[in-house]
Amino acid sequence: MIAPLIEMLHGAGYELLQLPCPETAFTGVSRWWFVYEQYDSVNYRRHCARIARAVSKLVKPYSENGYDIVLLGLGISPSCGVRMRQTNKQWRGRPFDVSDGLRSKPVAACGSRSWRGPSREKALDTGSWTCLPC
Amino acid sequence: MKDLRQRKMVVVSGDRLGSDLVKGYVDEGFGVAQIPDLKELSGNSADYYLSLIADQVQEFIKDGQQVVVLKDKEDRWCRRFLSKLRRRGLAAEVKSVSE
Repeated sequence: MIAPLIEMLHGAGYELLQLPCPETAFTGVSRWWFVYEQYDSVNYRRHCARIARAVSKLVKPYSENGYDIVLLGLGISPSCGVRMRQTNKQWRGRPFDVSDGLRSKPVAACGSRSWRGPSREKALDTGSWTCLPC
Repeated sequence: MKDLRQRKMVVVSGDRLGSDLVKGYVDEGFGVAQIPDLKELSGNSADYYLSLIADQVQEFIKDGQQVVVLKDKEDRWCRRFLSKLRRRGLAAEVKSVSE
């Protein structure tokens, strides 16, 4: 939130409803340089639609009572931009080779359950399973 | 590219957004997250909305950032939000609005 903007709006008699950040809730704070196409997935659309439904329920009573409602948003954002959004169908991430910076670690959860049963299908049915390396 | 995101977050009840207390946090470089008055929502929707805010707080904490929740005993949504954080085992710093 931008403090001078909040002060100005309060001074003009506006109440504020902060909209949740769909990107933070979906991908966390360590996301980097996403573009519209990367967010544009079925699950992300579902996530945004659910937020929009909840927010509209909060706003509706004010609208019905004649309040002046103004939506403030970022000028540019991959999925929340009011005027512009970053877009590139070929974009895959940071603009350099990341292979040197990545480290592999064992995944603890995989070893915590043992493989039991005669077949993979049965093991999956019983919830007792382990991951095999590809 | 300079990362402009704030590295500290304060969570407040909706009607305290413009208070001097919150302004003080903003001056110290805190980002602000609001717990709005959710009385217009059904139980499930209100719970979902609080979860959404808790999701963001969880991501901030996971990232090692300082999160302060300004506890307002009179605000039931704030109380419910705090119990949600507790159930998730999230270590946010809780301060009373009267402090």
